[in-house]
Amino acid sequence: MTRQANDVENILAAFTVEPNHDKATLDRYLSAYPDLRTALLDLILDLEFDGVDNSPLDLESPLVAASWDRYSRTTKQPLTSKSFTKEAAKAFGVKTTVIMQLRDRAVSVASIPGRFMARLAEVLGAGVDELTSYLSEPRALAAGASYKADGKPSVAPQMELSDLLAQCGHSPEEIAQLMGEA
Amino acid sequence: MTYPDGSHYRRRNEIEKMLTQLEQVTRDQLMERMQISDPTHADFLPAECILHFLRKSKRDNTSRQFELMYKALLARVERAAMVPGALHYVGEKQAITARGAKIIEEVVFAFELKLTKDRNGYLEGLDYYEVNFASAMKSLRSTARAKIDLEEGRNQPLSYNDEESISADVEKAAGAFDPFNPEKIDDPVYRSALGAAIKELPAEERDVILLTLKGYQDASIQPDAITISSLLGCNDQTVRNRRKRAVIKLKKALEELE
Repeated sequence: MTRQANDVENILAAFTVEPNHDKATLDRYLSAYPDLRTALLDLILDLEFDGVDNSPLDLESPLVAASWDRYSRTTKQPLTSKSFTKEAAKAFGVKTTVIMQLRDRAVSVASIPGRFMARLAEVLGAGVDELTSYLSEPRALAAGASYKADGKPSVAPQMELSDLLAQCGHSPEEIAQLMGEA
Repeated sequence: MTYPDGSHYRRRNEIEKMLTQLEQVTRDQLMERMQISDPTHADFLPAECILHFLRKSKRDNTSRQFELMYKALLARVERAAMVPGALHYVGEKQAITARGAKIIEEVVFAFELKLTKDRNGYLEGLDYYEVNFASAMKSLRSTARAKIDLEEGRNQPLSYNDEESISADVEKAAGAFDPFNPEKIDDPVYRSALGAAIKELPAEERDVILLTLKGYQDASIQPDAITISSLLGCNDQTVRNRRKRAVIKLKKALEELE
């Protein structure tokens, strides 16, 4: 019988984390996967006879450092204002202006429900912590704003998320849904 | 995710309890504990807990905290990937065999790949490592070991001769030797030496020994019973002969220990 390497790996992993490895458990696996007998018996040997090494770990071993290097190099782009796109608004199901106001930190973080925050983070490909810290940063004046205004330019006070949604034209039902109340 | 019998995988109770406690501590305290490298330290964190926190913050993976967490986990992976007997002394210095080093590298890379896949979505296969890290790592190590041995042509099966006679003298010498002597089996030194000796047996003998250990009968009059004969596709006399040969070898290997 030919199995995918991934399937074999999952079957063997499932076997190792069984609460015990008595005859009844082994019977089940040997009956279901007779082709994996050698691998299963190999694991019995490892599970029952390996000693425990309690010497200190090397948290900065060259292998660990190299692994981190590879893993972090493939890390996605960090969250920036450029992450708040029209596409993100569409995927999230809000008007583009809502996403733009969030980008410009026009909404008070405290007024954003956790579920909204989690869903938004997911759409933006960011973590909740990352998104929260982005939204909590001090607001900056839009570039060029000072030259177009009549009065002294200043940052407008932040508004509540529900107010923003209403202002941007979402219906009360949509707002309830987005706020996680429906 | 579920076991083949349909019951759900669950973290072990002690891990659940520890996670509940860890949710209460500050991030700094948590990070401090992740930096403890001595497994015997009272505050040493099990890999299951670190994996849980790492998966939870996988999207915030650019911070220094995440890096420390990642390294704490991978150091545990590296340790768990070590095959018994891979370390030896060259003079005063400890060294690792080339095969042992390759297996570790393979395991570290395979685990890293799992973390990468999990970061980009959700990899069910990582759940096993939250249920029981040390055990699940053995399956990853076993897969890596098989792969490395295949590459190096190590596991070409030697032809096994079931007809080889067992001389009366040798049989007598093995006598009533019981490798699983209940008085010795719990001694960690004896146990790991026994494990190493079983690993050295030809596959045919090793399978008989392990199935015997697990309580399988050589044969049965019930046609659908799972027995050593039915599993290995040979008759009960062959099973007994293989066991005799194995016991003789184990006795010899363990005598060297004493």
